[in-house]
Amino acid sequence: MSHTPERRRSLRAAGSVLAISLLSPAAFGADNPGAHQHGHSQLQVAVEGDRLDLIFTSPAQNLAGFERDARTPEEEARLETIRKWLETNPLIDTASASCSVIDAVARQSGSDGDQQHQEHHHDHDDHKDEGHREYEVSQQLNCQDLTAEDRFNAAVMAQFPGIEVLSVQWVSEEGQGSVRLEGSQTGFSLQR
Amino acid sequence: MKIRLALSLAWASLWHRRRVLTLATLTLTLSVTLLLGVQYLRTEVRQSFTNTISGTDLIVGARSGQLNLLLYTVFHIGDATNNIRWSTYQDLAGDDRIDWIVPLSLGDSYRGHRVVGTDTGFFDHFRFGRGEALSLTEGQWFGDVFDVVLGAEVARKHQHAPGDELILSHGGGRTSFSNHQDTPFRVTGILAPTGTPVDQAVYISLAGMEAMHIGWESGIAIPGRTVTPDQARARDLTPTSVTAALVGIERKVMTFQVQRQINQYQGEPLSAVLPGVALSELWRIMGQFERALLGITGLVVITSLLGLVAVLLTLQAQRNREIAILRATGASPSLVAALQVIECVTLASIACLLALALSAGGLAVVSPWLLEQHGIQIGLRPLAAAEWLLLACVPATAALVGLLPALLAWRQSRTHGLSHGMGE
Repeated sequence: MSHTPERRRSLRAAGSVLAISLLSPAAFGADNPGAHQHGHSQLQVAVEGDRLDLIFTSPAQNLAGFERDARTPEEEARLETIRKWLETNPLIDTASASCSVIDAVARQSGSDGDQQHQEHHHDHDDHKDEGHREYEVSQQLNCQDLTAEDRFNAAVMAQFPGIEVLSVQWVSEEGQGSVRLEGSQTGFSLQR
Repeated sequence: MKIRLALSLAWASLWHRRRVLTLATLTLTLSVTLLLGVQYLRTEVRQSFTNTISGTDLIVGARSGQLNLLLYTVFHIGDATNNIRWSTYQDLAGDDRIDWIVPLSLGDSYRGHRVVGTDTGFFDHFRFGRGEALSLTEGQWFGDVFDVVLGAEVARKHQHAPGDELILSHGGGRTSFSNHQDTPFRVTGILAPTGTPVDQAVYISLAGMEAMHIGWESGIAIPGRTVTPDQARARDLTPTSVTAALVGIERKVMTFQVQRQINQYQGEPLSAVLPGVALSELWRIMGQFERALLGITGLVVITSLLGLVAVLLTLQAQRNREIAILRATGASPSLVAALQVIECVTLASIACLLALALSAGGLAVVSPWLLEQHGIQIGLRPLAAAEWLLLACVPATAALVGLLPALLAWRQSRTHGLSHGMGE
């Protein structure tokens, strides 16, 4: 079996592409799947002056009570209510409720419409669309006259009792820190 | 008027029994000192712990847990599992959002102290405490390939001064048999004490780290392949990898964004951790132990208080006559009972005052020694509100446990008439 020089070259090129894709750090340098633990949610808070940038991630189970597409109009309405709440209410607020939402986007990962569509055409196996789903919410808040002594209340925990543990990480000009909120303990301050 | 009478009576009674009560109060003093000491140290150690690193926004290393990364880079505990490529380091250094980046290259030691390969950025950007910068007590930061800067504790322990020559050892550990004999380093500076692991480390340049490992590729010095310092200087001493990097972000608000991107870096698996977050995580684990310690000390205080009550109860058996006279002169049963509580609270208050003096005196004596010998910085400071509260709990608890002898005295003064008392 003989190959023309061109073909040999292209084979070699394909081989090296394959080798690169297998051996390059990119293949193993990528990310592992994120941890997904029901009952646990994470909140990252970055403070700059009066402005707070929040990133909230949580298994959908904690908020909606299920991790699949809505099957009934009630469930659809529930998801819509959750989305609206997440996009219009500050996830955390000061005692004097001085924070207001400037911008917010709530997104549920894993709810790819096309994929669902396909699955429904293949067969109506309900289990197929049951995977882990996450809510990812980013919010920008403006909290008037914010001081380092201000205490915050995690309103999102009161709204969604499914969140048993909320791990809060924060950064500000003064430093960094973390706090773990559990059960009825929903207050915290951004101080070391 | 009645209160003044009760106080003077209580004081006279205490003075009368001073010998026995002194011993009981001394026991209480010691246990309150212990309680106060544990609470004070708890706060101070926590402060010193969280002050180990400040001003650094991210620590970047090979993929690992945040505690592991924090421990080997900042506390010099444990080892890195992997390094990060120099190209990755340069890539990060080129990121506009990153204000400064300082490389750390670990793995060697000097008489049990970590050797840290870094650059001048470490001296410029590393902060501890409340944003305090590093300073030198003698000499200057390294400039040449074979210059070394010593942490305060290293210099003190081994009596080094600028100009001294020292041989670094290959690998970690207190006694290493493979030394970098061919490439001696010269001390150029000594850092001021910080009360952090910086005091325990030895700092050289990345080029120095590279130079002393020429000919050591297989882990030991291969005869004929090692080089003299001059030969080493002529070589390209750019490292191929570093262990970790400290990163300062231009706008703090971008920290999480940069962290996320580093964690998803395509070139190689990296971990970026927030040191402040990792420290609070670590403290949360250690906090369990210190809370248990405080709990035990609290129990010691309660035991001492009960001991005090036992002494008061024993003494009460001898006080029948006294109670009878008090009743005969018109004292009500409640006054007799109140005397017991007042005595108990007075003794506890005296114990607290003595404990305060003892703690302050002890700390004043011990703190210079602690800093000198162990690099732990614990200074005298006014007590915090929580500590005053804890101290106030002692007389309050004394009042509570004092109710027991008070109740007995009250019952006794009601049932025993003057004739009973006089008859004994």
